[in-house]
Amino acid sequence: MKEISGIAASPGVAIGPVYHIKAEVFSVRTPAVDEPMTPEAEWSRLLFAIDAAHVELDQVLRQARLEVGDDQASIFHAQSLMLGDPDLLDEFREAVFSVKSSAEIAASDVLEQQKLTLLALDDEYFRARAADVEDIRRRLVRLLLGKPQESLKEPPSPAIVIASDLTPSDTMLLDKSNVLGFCLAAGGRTSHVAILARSLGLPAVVGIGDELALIPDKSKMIIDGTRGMLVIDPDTETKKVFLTRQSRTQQFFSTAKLQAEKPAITLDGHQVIVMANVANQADAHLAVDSGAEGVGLFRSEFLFLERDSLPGEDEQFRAYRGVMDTMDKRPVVLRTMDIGGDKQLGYLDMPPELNPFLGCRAIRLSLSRPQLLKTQLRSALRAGYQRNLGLLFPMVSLAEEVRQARKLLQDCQAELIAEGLPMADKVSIGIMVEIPAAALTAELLAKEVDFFSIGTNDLAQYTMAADRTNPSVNHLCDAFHPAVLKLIHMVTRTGAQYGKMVAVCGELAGEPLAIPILLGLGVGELSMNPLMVPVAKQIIRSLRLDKARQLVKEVIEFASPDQVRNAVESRFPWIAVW
Amino acid sequence: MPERIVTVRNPVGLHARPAAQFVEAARQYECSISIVRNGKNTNAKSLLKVLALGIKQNTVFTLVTSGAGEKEALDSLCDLLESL
Repeated sequence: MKEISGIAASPGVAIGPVYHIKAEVFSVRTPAVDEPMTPEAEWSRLLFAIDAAHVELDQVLRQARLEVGDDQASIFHAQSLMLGDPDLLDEFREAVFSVKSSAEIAASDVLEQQKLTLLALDDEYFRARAADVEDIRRRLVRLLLGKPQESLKEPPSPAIVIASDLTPSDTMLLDKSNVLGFCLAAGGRTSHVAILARSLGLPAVVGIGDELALIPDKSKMIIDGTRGMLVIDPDTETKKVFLTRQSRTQQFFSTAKLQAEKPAITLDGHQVIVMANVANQADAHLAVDSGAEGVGLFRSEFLFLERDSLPGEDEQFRAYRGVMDTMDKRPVVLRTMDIGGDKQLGYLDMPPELNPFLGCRAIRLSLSRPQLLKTQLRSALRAGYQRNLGLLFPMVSLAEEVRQARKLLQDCQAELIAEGLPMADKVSIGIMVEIPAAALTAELLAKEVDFFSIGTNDLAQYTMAADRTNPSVNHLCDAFHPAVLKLIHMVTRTGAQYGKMVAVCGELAGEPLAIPILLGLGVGELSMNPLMVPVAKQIIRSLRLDKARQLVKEVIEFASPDQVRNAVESRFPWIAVW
Repeated sequence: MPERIVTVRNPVGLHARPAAQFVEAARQYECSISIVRNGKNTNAKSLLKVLALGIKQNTVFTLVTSGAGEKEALDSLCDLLESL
């Protein structure tokens, strides 16, 4: 038995044999004819292929409309527009007449170049269009080589499809009657395959990496598109667990999706706010589509990673504004940069530390370089103009840190007023509770903030003194540990006493089994992976708050995380199937 | 050659569907239509070129039309950009 993790792209569970799909590779360097042809002849071949491609695309478009609806099908209409692009035609002409390329080389080279241009853009949505250009390129080359449009070889019997990547038309034309789910080495949550899988209700895990190719054909596999996980050659016990989950989840999820927009109210009438964790605008769109009531955690540090220099104020403003605008009037809680620990920035000249997780991380780093934080606060304030902005400071351990951060925020507000720039008129301020010290002194901190948000991954790591990135000890980092639950309880009690909202934005919030416990502990808001929002809401609707409180009273005195899980499973068996 | 400065209001910018809608509308006109931004001209009838501009929300550019029906084209395309 082996587990591999990837990106959860479409929820649900499937079990079945592996079926590898390989898109046929067409070589354009071998001439289709023996005799070299004149540019005029190559040109008419190319025009002919373009016409034929239009005809094929119309067919794909019609099929897509029937299978997935107008909305998703519109990508093929866009492809048709690309194919009829007048500039593209000029470039083809240039390649054929001036460079004297054969028709297939001209088509391939020009489109390859267009693809690279799109891939260089800094927005995930624009980059995703490169897949459409590749789709067109393959279509033209195939037509020029005189090969028929063949759908990929579909699995002959029900199977989980594995591919390195699939173009939109490959995905569309594939006969999906025997497809149980998709696993891709490439791709992200907003790739075509992910979108199509979601509209077809098939589980998908993407961005798994090259090791996917090594899984032998016909291996038994479980794919968990809810958690972003694969299990290869599962043992009988694991298989049993997943089979039960599979049948229950399908029914549960279809109900959950229908109710996604509705509020999450427990059977005894208590509303719980369900929000989404996002890193960029693409995630924010998903959040809105999933019925999230806002963004409970905007991980701003993703803007700072994988680059060579700091993003300036305007660049940060645009990124934040994009998310704020997508969420419109809904609240967006922006966490200031959580850099340090396992997220290092080469360009910041951070001195090496023996224990980065216990080092100059998050708010500590921000306060030691106030200019860095000020740039971020200014961008956030500007982006929050006529929107609903909250700020969240990570890794707070002392009230003094909040006061310092607040002072910087006030400085920024004064500057922006002096400069006459529009900004958020009201900002709520919260802290992440990740350090046991913060939970233990929640009373002191409650006076400084408007809300608390508990980061369960780090709270577990610091409570258990176990590095969550170290595989030999990370099993100890279990947020179900009663020690962690007791700390959360301290925060919720203080929150209730001072009238401050307590949210949970760690992975625990999107973990179905944890939901009754968090509710019972008095958590009023959960923020999670956008795709889990409908499920979490539906789970909340199936619970009674008084029962959840009763459960917490018992489990908080237990000795181990497993005992806690077992208690939830036996009390709420319909949740356990997730 | 009439021209006008426009701001893209669509929250996701000029990508995918909005870009396709805009390019399709531009192709209805005989006159040449270009997007001028940072001193560079882009053919507004080319979806690939328009996408490659990576135009996000609140991006400002100049729309220039030239040829038959240039005034009408400019008016209706500016309206479309505002409403996308």
